[in-house]
Amino acid sequence: MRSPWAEQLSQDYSGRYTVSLRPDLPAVLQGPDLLVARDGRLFAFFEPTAHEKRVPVRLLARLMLCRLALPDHVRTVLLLVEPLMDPRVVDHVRVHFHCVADSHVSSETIIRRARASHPRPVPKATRRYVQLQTAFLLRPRHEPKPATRPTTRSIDTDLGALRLIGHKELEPVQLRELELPGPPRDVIERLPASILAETPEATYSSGVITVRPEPHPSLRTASEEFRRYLPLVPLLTFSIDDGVPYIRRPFLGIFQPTDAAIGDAAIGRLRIPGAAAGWAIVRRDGQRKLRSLRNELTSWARNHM
Amino acid sequence: MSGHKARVSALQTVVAGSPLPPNDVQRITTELTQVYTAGRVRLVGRRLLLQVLHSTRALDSTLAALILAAGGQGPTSLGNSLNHLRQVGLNGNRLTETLRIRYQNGIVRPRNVYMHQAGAYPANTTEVGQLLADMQACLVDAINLW
Repeated sequence: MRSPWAEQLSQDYSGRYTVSLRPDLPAVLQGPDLLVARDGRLFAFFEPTAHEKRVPVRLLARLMLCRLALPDHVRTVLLLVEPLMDPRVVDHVRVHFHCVADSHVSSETIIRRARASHPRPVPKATRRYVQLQTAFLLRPRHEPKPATRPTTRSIDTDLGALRLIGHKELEPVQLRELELPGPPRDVIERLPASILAETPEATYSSGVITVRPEPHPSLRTASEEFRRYLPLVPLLTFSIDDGVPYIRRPFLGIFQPTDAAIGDAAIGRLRIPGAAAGWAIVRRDGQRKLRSLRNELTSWARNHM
Repeated sequence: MSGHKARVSALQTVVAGSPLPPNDVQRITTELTQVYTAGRVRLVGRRLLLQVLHSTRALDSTLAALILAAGGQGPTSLGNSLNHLRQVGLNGNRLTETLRIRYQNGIVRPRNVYMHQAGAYPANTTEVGQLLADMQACLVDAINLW
């Protein structure tokens, strides 16, 4: 991913500041384009990608996750590059950054302006929530034991059929939510249509998003597949005001990469950024395991409302 | 990338942007540079061990320097630093127990195994990457207590 202006700035600041171009922050899949620091001050620069220019809410999701992965005193800078984004979009996005710079501004002026801006720290409640969510999603999981109740009644709404089952090995009574073909109304109200159009394979049920993407020729790795869906959970969980994420309603997600993209290393790499963004990354095992995980995540999301 | 250069340079920038005195920043960023220069060592086990040594030494020094700068007594080990952040904190802000346990298990425990047990080596470069990931999270959480 190229970010020409960030590269230029990294050369300008190099020597006078500690500089990290395209820093590898383990808690995010896509960090800021440039990180610059000196004398206890930290600045993160964001140069919108072509995709983020088309769907600006993706830039806000990236900003939000980076703010959660970096110390509170970080100042964020939006680099407005040519060709400029739609002016209405710029107006919508710029308030969330500490400072906005266009190509006419010198590198020192950018730092001076960013230093003069208000710090806007992330609320402690938001930090605490993300810590708990990450710890919950990263903890080791065990296969649930099969239930051994004598007689169970199961209403399987997925099949739209009511069945009475008299078998010892089946699981206990469980009423699962009806999965509608499209997103529910509260999700449609909160997510922009542009994001919903790009994530057709996401299904929503009481605070949990499940994604089992179909193989796509342009998305070859698990990371590329996941990137498309990543913003869904943070955008639903948090509202962003002046660049500060506030908890709105806890959501969690389950992402199951395609068999083509999967691999232990791929899953390992996605686990930490996934957990920090509210996603559990799991293999495509049986339906039973998925259902148990979904129930676990639903309870967690409900208990943290 | 066996040297973890992008991850180390991000850590160095976060340290440089922390409230630590400049001398400490210089000392710690130099220590972190050793993490990716150790990537040139040809014997894999030795290389990974050196990376664990330099990275955890950098974290050890960062936490101790933060505690000293906040008026605490210099802790003698990484585990003690985490306990201090949990029980006393920095400027009245304390680390949560969830996080203390996460860093104790993710950083201190593996570090102690590699430093004290003969014949113990990190399994692969992913393990060192994981350690650096936990270190960065620990560092950000400690700075946020300031």
